Amino acid sequence: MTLLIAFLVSMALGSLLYMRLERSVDRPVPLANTTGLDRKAQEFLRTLDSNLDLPETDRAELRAELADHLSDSVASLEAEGQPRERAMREALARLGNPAELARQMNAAHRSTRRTLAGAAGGVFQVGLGAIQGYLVGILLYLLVSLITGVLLSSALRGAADSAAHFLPAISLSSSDTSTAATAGLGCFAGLVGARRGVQAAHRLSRRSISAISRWVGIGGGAMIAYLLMFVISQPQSWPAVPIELLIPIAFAVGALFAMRPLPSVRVPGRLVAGAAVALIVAVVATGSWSSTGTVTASSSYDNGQQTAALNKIVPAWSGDIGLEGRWGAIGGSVVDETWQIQDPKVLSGLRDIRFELWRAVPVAGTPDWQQAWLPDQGYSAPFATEPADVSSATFTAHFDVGHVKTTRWLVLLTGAASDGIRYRVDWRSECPTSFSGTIWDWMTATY
Amino acid sequence: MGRIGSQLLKGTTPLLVLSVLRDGELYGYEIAQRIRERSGGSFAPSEGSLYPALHALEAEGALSATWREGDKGPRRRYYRLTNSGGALLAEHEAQWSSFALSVARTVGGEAGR
Repeated sequence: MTLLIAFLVSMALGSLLYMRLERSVDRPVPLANTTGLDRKAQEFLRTLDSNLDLPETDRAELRAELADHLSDSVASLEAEGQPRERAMREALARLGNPAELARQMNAAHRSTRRTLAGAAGGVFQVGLGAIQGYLVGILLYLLVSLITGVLLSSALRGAADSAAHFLPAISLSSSDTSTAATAGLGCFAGLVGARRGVQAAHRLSRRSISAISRWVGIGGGAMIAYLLMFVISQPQSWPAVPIELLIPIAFAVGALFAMRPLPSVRVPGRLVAGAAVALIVAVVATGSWSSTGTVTASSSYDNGQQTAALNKIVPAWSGDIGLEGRWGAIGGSVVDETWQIQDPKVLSGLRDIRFELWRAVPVAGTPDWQQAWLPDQGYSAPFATEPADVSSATFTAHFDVGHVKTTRWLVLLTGAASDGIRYRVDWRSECPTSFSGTIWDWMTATY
Repeated sequence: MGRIGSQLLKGTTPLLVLSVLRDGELYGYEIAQRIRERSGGSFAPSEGSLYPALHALEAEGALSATWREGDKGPRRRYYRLTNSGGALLAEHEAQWSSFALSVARTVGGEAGR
């Protein structure tokens, strides 16, 4: 909470500072008045300008100021009786070598005050640009998802079905997709944020943009990579991790190419309107809007498969235990299951009553959202167990599996009977969790 | 009095610039002229070093600059002393007095003591 408040306060102060500084940088500048200046004077100004490593506003200002100075100087020398050509030569000589003058001007513009302002404004703009990039990324993501969804379920449906038939099935849950999409948005945010940050730091500090690009690109990219790898804990999944690793690269690219203008993409309004109409027609014609994501009846699963698979690992107990109700509170990284029983004495025939957490695999042919899961037959023992305190009417299983790559679970309530066999009293499916941790945690974690 | 060498002038440009701006705002060319006039032609600061000095003082906040039309002529970039520029001038003057006195004592021998 303290960190959040500190962040918000610094963003507010940074925005005020940035707006104030940016106003002073983006002041209107008159154009250099070069009328009356000869070819040598114009060459002098060009050489000076090409050697200046300053924002355009400062360069334009300096060009105008020195053009005025040359005009004044030449007029004064002419008034003293010198011919115009000689007066121009003399005026230029007084200003010295234009490349050396540019070098001195570059140094003159770089004060500690401006460096600090550039650092503050740059950091602020990185944050602002990242938010902007994130929002634009969301819009693009929605647009691309919409178009892809419509095309795959209409015009390209046949091609998609053929591809699905030949390509190996890739299991992607909705949380996998969302963490991957979030990581993708992070790349876009990093790219835009770094670009804006470098440009703002250059404008405010007047430091060389190539130097700022290198420092921000390499230093910032390395810092982000470190934070993502070892510090920032968040939901992870296999498609998200490689995309997250692209975030520092996107940041470095955004910074290193900040001086290059973005390609100017002009999309004719008619093309946009035509595409929108075509999209609407496709949606209406195929009815795909309403049918997208639906599942045909043939893909429903057989409940008997689950019972048979469960019986294989822990046989069902035949006794009537009178379990009244149960509910689960399934967090991102925690499995919490609560059972309620009217009379705990009915479990007195069992000893060593415990909860068992089993890895789950989907029933073949069922989609993720249908939550049809079987215990993973590859394991002969539960992933974790926990003693169940059945002395009261309500008892709860609690497993923290945030650092485990497996994200589907079955919770079994088991007890050992007098015949020495452990029986399944009850079970609970539909326990999805998500891996929560740093990238390093994910890379070093086991299933 | 003859012209003073550029080696002696080195480092004094900010002091000279701040001094002539004490009386009011001026643009670059006027500043150079004013210094030349006040020194009786002894000081001829290189115009190539004048502008870097002006922009460095502006970057430090000692001067502020605005573009505007002159009273009689076209638009120029006018420099004005800021409050911190006034303080900087006082500091430079004190340093210069101490320096000049020390140089006079050293160069003048007994007479300087």
